[in-house]
Amino acid sequence: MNIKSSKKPTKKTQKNIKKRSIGQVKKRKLVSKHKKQGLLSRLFFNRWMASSLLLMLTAFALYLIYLNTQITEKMSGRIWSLPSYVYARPLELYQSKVLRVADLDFELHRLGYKKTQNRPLHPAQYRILNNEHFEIISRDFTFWDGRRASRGVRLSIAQNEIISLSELYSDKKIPLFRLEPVKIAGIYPVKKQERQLVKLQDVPDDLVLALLAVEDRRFYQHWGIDPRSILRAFWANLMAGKTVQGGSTLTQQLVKNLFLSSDRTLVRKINEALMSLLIELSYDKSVILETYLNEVYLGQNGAKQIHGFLLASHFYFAKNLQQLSRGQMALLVGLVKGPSWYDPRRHPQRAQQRRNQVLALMQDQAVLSNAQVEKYSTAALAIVSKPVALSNPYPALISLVKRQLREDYSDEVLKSSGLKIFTSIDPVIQMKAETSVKKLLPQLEANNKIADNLQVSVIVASSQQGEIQAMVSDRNPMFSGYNRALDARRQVGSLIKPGIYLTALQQANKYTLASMLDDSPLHLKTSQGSLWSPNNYDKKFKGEILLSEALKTSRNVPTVRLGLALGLPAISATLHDLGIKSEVPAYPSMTLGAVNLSAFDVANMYQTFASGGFHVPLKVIREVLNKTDEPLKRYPLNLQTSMDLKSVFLVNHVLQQVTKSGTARYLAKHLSQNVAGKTGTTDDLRDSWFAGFSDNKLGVVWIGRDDNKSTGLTGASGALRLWSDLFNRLNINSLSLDAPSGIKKAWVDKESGGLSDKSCLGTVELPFVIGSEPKEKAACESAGIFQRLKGFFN
Amino acid sequence: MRISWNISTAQGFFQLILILPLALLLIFMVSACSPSMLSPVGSSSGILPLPDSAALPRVIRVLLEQADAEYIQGDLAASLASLERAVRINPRVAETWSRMAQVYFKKGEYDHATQHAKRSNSIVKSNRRLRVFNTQLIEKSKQELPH
Repeated sequence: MNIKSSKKPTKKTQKNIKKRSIGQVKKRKLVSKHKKQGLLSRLFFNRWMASSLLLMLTAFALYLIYLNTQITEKMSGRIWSLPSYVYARPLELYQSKVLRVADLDFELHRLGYKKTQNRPLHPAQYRILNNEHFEIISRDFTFWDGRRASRGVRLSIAQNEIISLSELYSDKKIPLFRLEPVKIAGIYPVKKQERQLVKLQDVPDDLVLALLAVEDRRFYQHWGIDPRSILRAFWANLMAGKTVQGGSTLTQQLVKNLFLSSDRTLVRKINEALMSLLIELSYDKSVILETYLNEVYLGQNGAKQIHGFLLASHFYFAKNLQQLSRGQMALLVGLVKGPSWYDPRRHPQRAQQRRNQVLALMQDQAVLSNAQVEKYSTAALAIVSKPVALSNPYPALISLVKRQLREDYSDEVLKSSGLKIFTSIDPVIQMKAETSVKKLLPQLEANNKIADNLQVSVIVASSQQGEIQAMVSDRNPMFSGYNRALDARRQVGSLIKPGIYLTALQQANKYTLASMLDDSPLHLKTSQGSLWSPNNYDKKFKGEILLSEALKTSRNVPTVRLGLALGLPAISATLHDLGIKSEVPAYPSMTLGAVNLSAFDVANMYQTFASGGFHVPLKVIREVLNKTDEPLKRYPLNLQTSMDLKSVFLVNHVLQQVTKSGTARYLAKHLSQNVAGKTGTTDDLRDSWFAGFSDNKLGVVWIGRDDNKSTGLTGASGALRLWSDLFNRLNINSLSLDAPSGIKKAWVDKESGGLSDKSCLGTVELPFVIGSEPKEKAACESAGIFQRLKGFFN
Repeated sequence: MRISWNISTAQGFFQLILILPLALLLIFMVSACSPSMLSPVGSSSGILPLPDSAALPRVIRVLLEQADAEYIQGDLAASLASLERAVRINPRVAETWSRMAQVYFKKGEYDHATQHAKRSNSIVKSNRRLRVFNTQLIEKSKQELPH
């Protein structure tokens, strides 16, 4: 206000003065109010701001809880569920065991043992001397019957037999040594993702050091995110002019992997950081590291993702982690940054550069010396060609294992309870079965005009114990689709005949091997009113023939007559006792094998013959341990029924003749050991079967087409060839048929079935149940001196 | 030294002559009956001794001895597991199957006992004692089964 002004204040100015003074008063009031309330009031001077801030904090807290729940869910799904593992049979070593050097070498290799030049010093090492002496140090292992500590043994093999077995360090002889079983597959918690999980303690230190050196040096110091390494990476990248280092911690990378997000938005980054902090709060460093080692994405196998270092180790190098060289470890660690970009198969040069970069970082962090870096930098990548199947090389067998387990354990339990499943699977026999299949099918297709698109089922089992040792369900054994051996039900043709003849021979007072059967034209009226005239394979009729001849040469017509005379219910009952649990149709055509059975069913049936009459239902699982190695369940040898041993012996006698002079006489020339078996051929040559056994090995082979068209192969020209090839590869003992008590041999005239003598022409020696030998004497055409001499040498 | 013969000595002597054969007869009867008196057979543990080493490979002997020890301790599951290991190595040893029958009998699984005893008998060659044992086990199992 201008005092000097002489003017009187106007009404307007007076108003303004009033306004101003009111404002000033108000302001003064406010200021004094603030002064009263202090600092806090300055910040939260508005009650709305206070409540909204409180709300924000609550929302944030809730969000963190939500994130934490997500993390816990994912982590527990990864950590606490342990996959179940399936093991093969343990190899038992003892003096005079038949074993080839190559097979033992194969077994040790499959066990992941390291072959050394010098004497082995640590568990899981071995060496071979002179191609005959083995020095082995086994691992600790917990079998069903308890923990067995690591042990050193030395053994010598001569002419495919173990000739001595002793302690490695003393020369004390050992009677028996059991190697731990090969782990052959896992049943995993995460669907459709092949995983091989590894425990932190089983990861080589060098690999962990390499990973930390490259990806997260301060892993053990930070709390989830590491501002220092972010800055360091930033600086390094700036200096290099390109991205050479990442600032993310392993924890952050784990989060990224768990939630599979590739977008790098700010929101994502923030979430990632928050979750990393939360994980560190809830879980130990070792747990985080172990989960990371099993989760990190390291490659692509077609449609399948490769997660985890163990799986990657198999995928790129076909080795266990312990078998990797440091250079190979460096490559795997290098892949973390970009598995596709550094794919060693598609971009080998980039991969090599990246590997060398990693090696340099390892040297930087004093993990490797100069000399080592030199050595590994110049080494080749040594990548193996892409494997077809990784963690499950035995899809057919594993599906059988799962089916048998399902009777006792749910899928959930299997996938997440860390069970150890011990089976009777023999990796050596499986390998041989696969080799035979891969060799024979193309051969059969090449040699036969019609044979094309053939498919196959092969089962090998121990006949006395009823344990499945090998199974092939597809001409490509790695294929994990349709399991033919278990599920393909095909007509069995003549394979059914031993069941019919057994039914007959069980009535020893009515039927013997010398009974005469009628092989003449037969016309039957079926229940539908049509006429059925079964025919023999050669379209001929032989008139009266011996029962043993009819079975040996697989004559159809006498078999039908015999079957009808016995009655179909009686035959069904015998088949059931033999081990065929599925229903057999009660039509006359059943006598010729118009019955659909799988190779597994056939194997069950022939196991009874192979054991001399003791049916043991075929199984593959022996024992199950839980995740802490405690015994859970044992599946004992389940000897169920015994047939009449004498009649089984009589049938087996003929089945042996089948392989000497019958439909499978090919074996007489191509297999040195004694065996027994039966060929099976169906109408139009749609199915080619052979079921045969040696002393303790049973093999069933089926060859056919999925579209059920003709293969152009009989049982003898198809399945038998494969069976022969396989059994030549296996270590088999000759079948020695020991007659049970109550059996006596006698010479019989082939034409009439009458009692005869060795010296007569046209005779054959056959076994009989005592008292059932033919009573009538046949006319004896005496053999001349030359025939007698010939007979002498036969 | 001259034995002074008097009536008491003579009486004692005659008593001895009479009692001795009776005692021997009694002992003979007891031993002949022992299979049915003891359960199941023979020695105190009930297990038949193994044949001499010529007849049995060492690896089988070791496993059967282990199975026997487990049986005596009462660990029947372990005994069966050891016996199955022996069967896998050589299924043609009658003693193994016989022992399995015995374990099953002890477990009360009479069906299995019968089948394994039959299996053993189908392999036995000249060991009559084993054959008799198996047959008796089959008999006993039949008696135990509900009719």
